[in-house]
Amino acid sequence: MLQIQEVEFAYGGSQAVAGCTFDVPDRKVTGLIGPNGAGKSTLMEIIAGGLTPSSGRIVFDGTEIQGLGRIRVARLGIIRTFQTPRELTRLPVMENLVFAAPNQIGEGPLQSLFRRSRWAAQERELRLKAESLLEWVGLTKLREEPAGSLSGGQRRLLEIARAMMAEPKLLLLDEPSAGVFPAVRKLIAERIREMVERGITVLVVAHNMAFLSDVADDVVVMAQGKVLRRGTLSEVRADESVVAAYLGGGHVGGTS
Amino acid sequence: MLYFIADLLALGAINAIMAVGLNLQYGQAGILNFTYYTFVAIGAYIGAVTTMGHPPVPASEETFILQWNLPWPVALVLAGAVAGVLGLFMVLVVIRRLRSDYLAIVTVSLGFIVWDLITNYVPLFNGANGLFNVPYILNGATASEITYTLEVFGVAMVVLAVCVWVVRSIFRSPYGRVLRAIREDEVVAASFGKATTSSRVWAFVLGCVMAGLAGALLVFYVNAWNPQGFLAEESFILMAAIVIGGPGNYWGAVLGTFVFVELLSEIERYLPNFGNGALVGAGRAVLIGIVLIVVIRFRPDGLIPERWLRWYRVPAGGGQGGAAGSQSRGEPRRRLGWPWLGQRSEI
Repeated sequence: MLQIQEVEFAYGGSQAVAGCTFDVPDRKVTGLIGPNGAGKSTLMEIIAGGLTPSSGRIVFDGTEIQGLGRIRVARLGIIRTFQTPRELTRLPVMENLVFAAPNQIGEGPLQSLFRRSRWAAQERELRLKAESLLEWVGLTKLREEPAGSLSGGQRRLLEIARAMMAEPKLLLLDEPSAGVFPAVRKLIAERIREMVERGITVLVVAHNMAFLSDVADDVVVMAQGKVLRRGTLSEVRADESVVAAYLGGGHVGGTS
Repeated sequence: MLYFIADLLALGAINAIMAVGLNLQYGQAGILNFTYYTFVAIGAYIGAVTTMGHPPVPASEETFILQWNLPWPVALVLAGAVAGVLGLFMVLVVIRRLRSDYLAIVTVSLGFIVWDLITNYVPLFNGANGLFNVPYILNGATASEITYTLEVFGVAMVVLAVCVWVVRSIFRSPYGRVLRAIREDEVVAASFGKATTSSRVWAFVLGCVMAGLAGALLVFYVNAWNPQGFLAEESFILMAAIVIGGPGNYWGAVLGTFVFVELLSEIERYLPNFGNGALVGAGRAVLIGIVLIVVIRFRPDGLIPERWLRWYRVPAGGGQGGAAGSQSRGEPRRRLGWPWLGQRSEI
């Protein structure tokens, strides 16, 4: 589905991603973990088209997508959520969802004026779909509320529903469980598993091990911009070099 | 008194056209355009020079380009078109590289460039002296002052109706939603594959077209135009009217101009002049500032907030009613193709 090949990126002098290579297999949840500053979020941003890598390739469904820009990457079916939820705060929850649907008729100025009957019909379908997604994440009652008034956990759920509305092939989730109540975390994990059953491929950055063990088929550990280890969660947790990387980069294979 | 009211109505309708256009740019698309009145001026000049004919009527010392003698509806459309094209050029220069605040600063400087050009390059629009003796439209040359005022009011209301229809259609359409999404968070809009640049460009251009239309109507009404008519201050007053009326809401824009621009320009005559006539204008500016601060403090979303517009009303047709509408009426919910989303969970 997605191949990341020798990707490098530097912010000024600091090498955030230094020759990172791994595959994201089709219809699986791949977890991406690593200590702070390992380059996970930067890599997500590169995949999403927000940053252009200085070298390396990112291949999605056989096409190279590095440096295409957010809009074209999104149109290929790669949809992301954000580390800090970014709702359209002054728009109601419903608008936040319907907006995300791809290829809408009436998104151009002329169409909006002269293709009214066509986009109106589409609008009804999209709202029904949005309704069912709201129910799916348990936000039905908040349909009309401005998204800015939601709590942290509700925002995470809304982001997931919104991403689903965009009919993604590959979903990039950046810390979907950060800062939420354990019950909501469980729900989010459940929903992610359901997405995979629907044929969506997921790459998820997370810190919470309980959450990862619920969702991830496979985990990639990054440290200092490189892939350190890959395997199931229990495998990588048992790996000494991974533990060392979390405890402090200088002690790989360390003494204690 | 009757004339006074008619004059208020006519100017109010023309100002409302401007406000609706600026509201599309600022309220919907989130583009801070501090030189909106420049496009009004362009419309006014084009409206003037395409109807004044050659030689200018009556023969005068005025020098200006074109000197066409077109019927006024054609001139009106042309004024809108030219303002739109200039808006397109301007926005293409600035929008790709610049974001909100920086873009606003560039609009200010572009406004000054146009102002200086028109003022100093006399062959264009007769420089600082401006154009006068712009012909009346309809039967204005022979009709009484009040009849002509009411006629202009009628024409302006027709144009305003068209503009409100356009903005309203956009507001309710997926295009309007994309504009609002870009306004809220451009990165998110792009991350869902929305055409961020072209959406904003067209909103800007449409707003400029409306400015041009309003400018042409204004010059047909007052029959003269010079650079003193489009000082930077005018754009700020319009912007203030929108902030007060309710950015994003087209009715707010209309209300804002009728109440704010009109009342405040009329209130001028009641302000004390402190023994110096020039202070009256300053007093008005101070008053505008005070009103603005009060409104932003107590009603930050304006007098008619955007959320008062009905978000979910789907245009009639198909006999289903809107999805949200059928919800609120308690009808059974239809499910379309997402049966797997069955289970309900409440947080």
